[in-house]
Amino acid sequence: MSYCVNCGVELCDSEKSCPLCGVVVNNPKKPYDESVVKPYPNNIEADMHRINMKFGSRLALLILLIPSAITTICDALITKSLSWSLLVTGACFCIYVWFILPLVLRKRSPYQFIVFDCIATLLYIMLIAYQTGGFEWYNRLAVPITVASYAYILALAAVFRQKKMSRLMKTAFWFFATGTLTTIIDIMITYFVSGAFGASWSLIVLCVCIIFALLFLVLYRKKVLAEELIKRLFI
Amino acid sequence: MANSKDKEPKKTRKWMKLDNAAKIYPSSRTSTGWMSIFRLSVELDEKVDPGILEKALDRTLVRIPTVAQKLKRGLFWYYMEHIEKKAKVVSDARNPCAPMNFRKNDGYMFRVRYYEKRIAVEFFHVLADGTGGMIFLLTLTAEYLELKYGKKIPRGGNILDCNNDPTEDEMGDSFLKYARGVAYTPKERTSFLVKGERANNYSKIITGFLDASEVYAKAKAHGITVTEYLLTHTVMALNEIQKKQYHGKKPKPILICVPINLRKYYPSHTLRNFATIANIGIDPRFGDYTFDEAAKEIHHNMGIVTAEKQVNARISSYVGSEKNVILRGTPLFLKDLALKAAFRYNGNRTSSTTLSNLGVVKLPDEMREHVKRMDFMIGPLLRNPIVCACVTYENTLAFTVVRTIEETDFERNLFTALVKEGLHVKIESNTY
Repeated sequence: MSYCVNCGVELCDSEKSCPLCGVVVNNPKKPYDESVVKPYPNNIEADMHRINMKFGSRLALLILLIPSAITTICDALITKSLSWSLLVTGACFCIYVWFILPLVLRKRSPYQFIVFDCIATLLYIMLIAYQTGGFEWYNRLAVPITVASYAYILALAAVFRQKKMSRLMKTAFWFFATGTLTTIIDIMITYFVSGAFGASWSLIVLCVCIIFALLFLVLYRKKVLAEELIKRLFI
Repeated sequence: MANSKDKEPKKTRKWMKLDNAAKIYPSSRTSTGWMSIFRLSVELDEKVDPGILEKALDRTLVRIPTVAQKLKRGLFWYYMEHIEKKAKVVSDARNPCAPMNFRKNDGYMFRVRYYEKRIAVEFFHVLADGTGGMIFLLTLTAEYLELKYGKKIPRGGNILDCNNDPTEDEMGDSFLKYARGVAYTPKERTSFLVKGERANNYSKIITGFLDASEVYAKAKAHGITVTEYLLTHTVMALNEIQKKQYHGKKPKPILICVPINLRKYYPSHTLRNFATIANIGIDPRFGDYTFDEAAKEIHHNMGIVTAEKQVNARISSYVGSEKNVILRGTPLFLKDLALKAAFRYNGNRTSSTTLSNLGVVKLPDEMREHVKRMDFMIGPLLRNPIVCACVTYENTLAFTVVRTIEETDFERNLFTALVKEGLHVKIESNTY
């Protein structure tokens, strides 16, 4: 009989090493015998079948292609050109990029998907602009706001994924980023409407957000103050 | 209250309703093939003859027809239909309790396997619980030994006589018969879940063999039962893991799902499911537990949840849901969706693992001389990567842990703790 020197358990003759810790059995009086009958045979029965993501994504793509193809044919037959059906096809493309692409790619990084989603959104809005004949609003309003929104999501994802960062810091960053995004949106709308850069209502939001961001930063820095607040405000 | 429709002679009936506990199992199956399976096995003194085993199986299936059933879909509920085709025995695999393909298995929801000196049966839980499965295995083994050696094996207790007809009681749904109707379901807490790297090829099995009388003496010294003693060790082994995984974070309760055999409370002879479960354990949020503190808490909690009134209230709540008019009238596909979602969300979430103790198996001398060992294991659970089961035979307690992760921390914590207590542990695995 052999014992695991690490765990103190006796090991069956079929064990080459301790199944609990992996330490190899070394018994000079009874070396491991390969021919000993094993407690289980070697054949492995098919375990749970894994979902084939590649197949699933192809199937989903096929399902998305069906409405796209039908609308394209209908559009071509009725209007003798491709107009509104392009919007359906574009929407199907967006659905694919937003929901199905993350399942297909082997290396899954949230930043990569955010960038892909941003490109898909920009392309779809461009398609709408092309259909409605208005590239002006696309360049001056849609592109900056979309890029700013995705940059906001990207920044939040980067910050909130930090495990070591304190919650107070994360909250401060959220306030700051939200205030900044609101201001950018306001500036872009003002620029589109009046042709000059400027901000109005968003400054109130920005001020409030900065005050809260600073408050959380101070709380993060000043532990005594944080404790004092907890002492007085506990529910 | 007995169901009036159950009074129809079952022998002539070729279909049957699922028992109360079985109703969740068909819906809980996943698209990846996961299903709730358990396995019982005996090791004989000689190599198993598959031809004789198949003949023994034929005779056993006539005596226990509740097992020879296939799952069918009705408009409102699943039901089971008797299979006329003969069942086959199959060779064993390195990964027992792998999901079954019913179509390839002629509709059978169990399989009889053989390997060297071992006969094993694996059941989809919809057919029977551990006790029902054990009766099937012992009857099959008795038939096999009779056919092989030509000697008479005395029948009685857990070994059925295949010359007799199945009885109404054996085939009935005892939940409906014994539930008194006043329901109570305790609020369950979300339990700690062991994390780890998912094992790639197959589920890993480690069995520890212990001297049952030594374990009994240790349990008695702590003033608790053997099940409570093993439960405490299981909880403490998990607590060690939680301390590492949740380093510096708020811990979660460590609860173990313990099946309770209802045949102990009621004079039922059913061969189908007749067990309920209770989640027992400790809450490390309240502080660091010593072994004795955990043992004491588990002992008292077990005392409460295993009281007959509590048990009946629990099964009454299950039966109450089954009898609900709205639920009964809901089409199966909707029920399926709802049950699937409920199981995905809630199933296995309220316990860190399962520990099923089948207790001590006693055999007549004519069988004992041939049966050398007995094992019991539960197939991998949906969410929990570790599941434990044990059975005692001939003063040997076989404690089997099935896991779906690579890490062996749980088994190591458990068995080394038992060694530290002064118990002799012998280890066997399928990971050689």
